[in-house]
Amino acid sequence: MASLLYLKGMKEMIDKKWIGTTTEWISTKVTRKEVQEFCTVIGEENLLYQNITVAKEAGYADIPLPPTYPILFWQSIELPWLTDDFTMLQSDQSFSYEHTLIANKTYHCQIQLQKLRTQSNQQFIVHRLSIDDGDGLAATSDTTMVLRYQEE
Amino acid sequence: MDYVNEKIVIEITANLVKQYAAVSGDTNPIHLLKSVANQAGFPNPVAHGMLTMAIGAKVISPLLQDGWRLSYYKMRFSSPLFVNDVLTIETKLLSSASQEVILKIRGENQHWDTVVSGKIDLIIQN
Repeated sequence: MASLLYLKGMKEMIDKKWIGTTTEWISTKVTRKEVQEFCTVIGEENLLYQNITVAKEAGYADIPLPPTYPILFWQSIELPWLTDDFTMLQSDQSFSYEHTLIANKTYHCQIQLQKLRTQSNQQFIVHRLSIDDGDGLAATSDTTMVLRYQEE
Repeated sequence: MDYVNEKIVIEITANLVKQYAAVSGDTNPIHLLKSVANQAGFPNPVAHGMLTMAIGAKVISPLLQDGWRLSYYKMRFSSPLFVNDVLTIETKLLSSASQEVILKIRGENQHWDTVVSGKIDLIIQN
């Protein structure tokens, strides 16, 4: 469990009362340029992500978002149970898709604290990002993190 | 399944991590500064797990252009990947049917230590 994810966090353990709590919905729209910038960084050269004609020939209404792109939506969402700067370990990540997400479409997103388990000076936290395309749930993304606290 | 990019080998450079930090908004200094990584007990800055997962997804992009749609993609981050490490990602076909393909994905560093492992589930577009 060693990958780090920098988030807003708490110096004190998260209270289990937050389990099940969801954030406010936020709306977001990704541009084709943002997709292309992301793909340039990760070295994704498939024209599917660069060329609208190729994307449409492949059956998409617009340029598709790369599979892990939705993790960037976290940056726009405030989590009230995470209030101070903190570093967490990310242990697992998953994306489940009902529909492929595409550029230039508005999505509504929220995060729920789904599970919280405390073991000694560690907390294991599962968050679910839900992404709605206006017609229903298009995708979800589960992020499992480990928060380690210093012994006093 | 002839189109799967079965193997990806990439050096995790400081510049790559810096660029991913910029595009993702995850600018934790532990990803960017050797001094901060050293303080945390790491030999070099730690690459974002989500960078590794994003690179791993490249194995399926030819399929996503060929009628297949991603249904599920999961990854477990079992060991840290550091700047200057060489990441090798390989996939293996777990099962294949007319409407669904499941791949196993695994990433290792230059010391053959597993850094990530997971599963990719693809379905054919109706």
